[in-house]
Amino acid sequence: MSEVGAQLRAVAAMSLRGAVNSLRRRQGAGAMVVFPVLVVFLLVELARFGSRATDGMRLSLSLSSPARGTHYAALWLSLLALGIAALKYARVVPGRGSRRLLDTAVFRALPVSPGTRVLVELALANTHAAGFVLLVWVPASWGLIRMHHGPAAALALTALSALVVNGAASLVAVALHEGASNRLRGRGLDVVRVLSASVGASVIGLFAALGPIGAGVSRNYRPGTGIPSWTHRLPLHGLVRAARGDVDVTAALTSVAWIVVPCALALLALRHRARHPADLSLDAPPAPVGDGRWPERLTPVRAEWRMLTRQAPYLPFAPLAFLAFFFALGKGARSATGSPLPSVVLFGLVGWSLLVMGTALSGAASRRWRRALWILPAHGVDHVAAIRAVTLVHVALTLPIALATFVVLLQPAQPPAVFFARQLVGLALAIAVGQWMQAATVFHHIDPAPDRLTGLSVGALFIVLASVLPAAALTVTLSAFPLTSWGPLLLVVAMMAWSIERAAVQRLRSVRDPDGDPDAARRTWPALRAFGFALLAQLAAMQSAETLFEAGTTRQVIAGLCAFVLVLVAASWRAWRRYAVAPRWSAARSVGAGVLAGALHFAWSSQYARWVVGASAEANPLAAAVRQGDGVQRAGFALLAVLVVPLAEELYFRAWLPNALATDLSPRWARYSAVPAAALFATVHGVATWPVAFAGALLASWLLARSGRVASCLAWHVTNNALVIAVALLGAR
Amino acid sequence: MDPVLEAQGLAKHFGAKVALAEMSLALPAGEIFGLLGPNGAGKSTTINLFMGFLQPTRGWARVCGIDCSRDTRDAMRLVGHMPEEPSLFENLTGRETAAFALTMRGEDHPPRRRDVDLLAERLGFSAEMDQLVAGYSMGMRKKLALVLALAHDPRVLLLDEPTNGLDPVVAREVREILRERAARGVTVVLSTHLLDVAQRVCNRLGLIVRGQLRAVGTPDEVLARAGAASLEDAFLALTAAP
Repeated sequence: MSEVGAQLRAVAAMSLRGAVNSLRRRQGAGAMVVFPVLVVFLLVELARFGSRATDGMRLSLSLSSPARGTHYAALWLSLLALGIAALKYARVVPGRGSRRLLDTAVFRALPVSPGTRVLVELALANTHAAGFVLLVWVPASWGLIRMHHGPAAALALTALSALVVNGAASLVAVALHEGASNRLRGRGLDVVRVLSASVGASVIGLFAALGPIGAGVSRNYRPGTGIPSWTHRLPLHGLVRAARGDVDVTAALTSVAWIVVPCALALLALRHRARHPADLSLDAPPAPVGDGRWPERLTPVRAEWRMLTRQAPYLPFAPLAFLAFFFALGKGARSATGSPLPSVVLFGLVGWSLLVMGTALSGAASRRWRRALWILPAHGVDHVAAIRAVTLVHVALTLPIALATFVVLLQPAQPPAVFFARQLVGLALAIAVGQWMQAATVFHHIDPAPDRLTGLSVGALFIVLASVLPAAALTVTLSAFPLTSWGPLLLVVAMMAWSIERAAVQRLRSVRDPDGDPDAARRTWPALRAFGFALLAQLAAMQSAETLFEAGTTRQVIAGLCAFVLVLVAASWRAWRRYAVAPRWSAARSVGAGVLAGALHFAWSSQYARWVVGASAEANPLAAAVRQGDGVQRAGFALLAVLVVPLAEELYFRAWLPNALATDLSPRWARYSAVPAAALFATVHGVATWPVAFAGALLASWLLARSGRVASCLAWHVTNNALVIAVALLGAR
Repeated sequence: MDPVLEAQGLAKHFGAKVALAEMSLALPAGEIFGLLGPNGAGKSTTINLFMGFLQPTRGWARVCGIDCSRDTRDAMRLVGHMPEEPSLFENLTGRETAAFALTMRGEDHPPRRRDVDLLAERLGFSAEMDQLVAGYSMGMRKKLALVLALAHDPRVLLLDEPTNGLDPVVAREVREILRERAARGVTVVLSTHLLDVAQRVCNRLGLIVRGQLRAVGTPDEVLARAGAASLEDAFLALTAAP
């Protein structure tokens, strides 16, 4: 045992050190702080979402009836456990060229004890499909347990159940794989993986059809008849009863046996396998996949498609699996409630399906993209074309999922044709820019040296976020906002995707040197990234403030603005100096012109608000915020809005962003770089007053260009904001 | 004296493909044995069978009397292995990788660490030991793999193309190290395409063609058998035969 312990400690220490080294190498030392904070933030948000979703589900289905609740809860959870095991198996089977810890030459040549080997395999398997456990099992079991226990006990029991189910499913999946890999190789293992993934997806479909929405209020169920006798044989029946405080020893023991017996058998199988190692599947010569004929001319898109389907042959089946899943879900919802799903749930599900697909694509990508990076340019394909080819293939795989989901779920509602068409176009655009961003991010993170592995294991989270968040956020936004609002949003996301692509391409053109782009710091992407961080900081601060103060109060707005400004000023303060130009006007002339322009801007924006938007000038968000709160809060907010926010925004939107854009644009277009910067500025300031904010931003850029002094545009911004605040305060009095 | 490395009727089939057909071999302590043969002849398969990575279809392979496929772990303790394409943990430094390998063997103590430092110094690799493997060139990876194979002072060395990708100075040093180890009683099996290396370093040679051991003997015996003046001519003559 001491040998096993020492070896396990060495593997754990090495894995941890490798992860830290990787993080530091790929993302810099700052990632050591940012990455854990980001993960914790995501987990907390996920927990909040799961908690709200399951609470709502529980209330809407009236599952407090003990017999009905126990019956269906045991059924759902058993199905879910089966689905998790199947999905784990699909991920555990290594594809050709997979590079797991145990497959490296160093590890294989070491005298590893059977115990270490088994435990390391299991530890790795525990991480496979862990996202699925977090996304589905945890909310389902949390909602169930919360029916009868307080938050603390529910948290502990949910964590325990997730650990047990994840561990048991991993054990069974690894043991099954070890048995299968002796007999199957090459394409055989691929087929098993496809089948296993299909089983997992079908089980999830069944979960949807028979689960919370469908079977919970099944019309075939006769209330008052108690628990049907056959449900006593369900694997998790006794545990569900115990969780709601109704302990039945026989049922509990049966449930435990359902978990313990398969695990014991799996352990025995693994022990045997570890003591008698047979051929590793990767050593067998791969079966031929060609048919002896020369292929047709490989365009970048065709090559990308071929690489993708050989690396992950199950991905083309994903749209069908999702279609079946959502079809079952829609049918279950209608049979249970007699009406279609609410639009919030609908768009949430579309976002969820994109998240799952984004994860699958990232998982399949780790080696494939590195090949695409080198193979395509080696055949004369430009990096831009390579990124666009990846984007197109991924759009081809993701778009059918979103569209089919949308059509299947929305079809019974028979929405107006215009609404339908608008949402479909919006979805298609959102997915296209989301995938563009993902592909560009991958190429930006990829390690250009041909003999290195990529840092994608670390970058995977960012890549998934890059792909999914814009698309998911936009799909949810599309459901609630008119056409005019998502146009600017799409523009912003597309601008981000373009900037990442430019940064990636420039970096890859100076190949073999990971830091070889001399203009890296001057490009658009660092500027937009800083802006994204500032927005995230604002969001986080407002979330935190909501727990301390009432939502929508001046304090909450102040907290959000402070966080936004702090991050933006910290990022902009040094960056804008890179583009410093010689002053042309005197300081007094610059400030005077700025004040005049600010007053003019205030005048026309007030008129625009009255004439076009149909509201008074005080409807400005600044004015609305300053009218609330007590005197101290008003003074604080006024100081922030009149001095600090303009400083941060002018340094960013006028001094940094347009110059960064000019670095990436061709010389012909560089002179117009103030236009996209102004568009972003206007989008941030609200859709209703977009045109005046856009025009004002262009005016401020012109002032800066003519005067050569930041003071000019700063004076413009300060004057406008001061007038808005002054009018609002006078009105309040 | 009992052979240190021994195979009897060793065969490996992958379905219909015969990777190795009935090989019998016995190598004493201190011998440097060169495995020669064209691409895909079965050299790496032989080494993988001795490492226990592959299960033989027929026959057996032993290291110091220990069956390589049944008691793989015990056999591995006695063997240092260098694969042709060393796959390493990308996000560890060379020193961390060596420390990990020694710990897994239960031999992470100061004398062994000193041996690793000395080996790295001899291979001109000391400075790179503290860099991440991800930044290594192919030659540096080879050097690290060689350090890992030698670090625990094994009784048998199984080396697949050890000098490929190394510059002439380091390749010479590697040959010197192998001779020193052999003089201390270590049995070395060297799979290589470089005929001059084989001729200069190896006590005996084995020529594998399409999974069959065509010739075994000292370099002079192999030349005599092929009736050739140089090892290159012998190689061409023996591999061309049906």
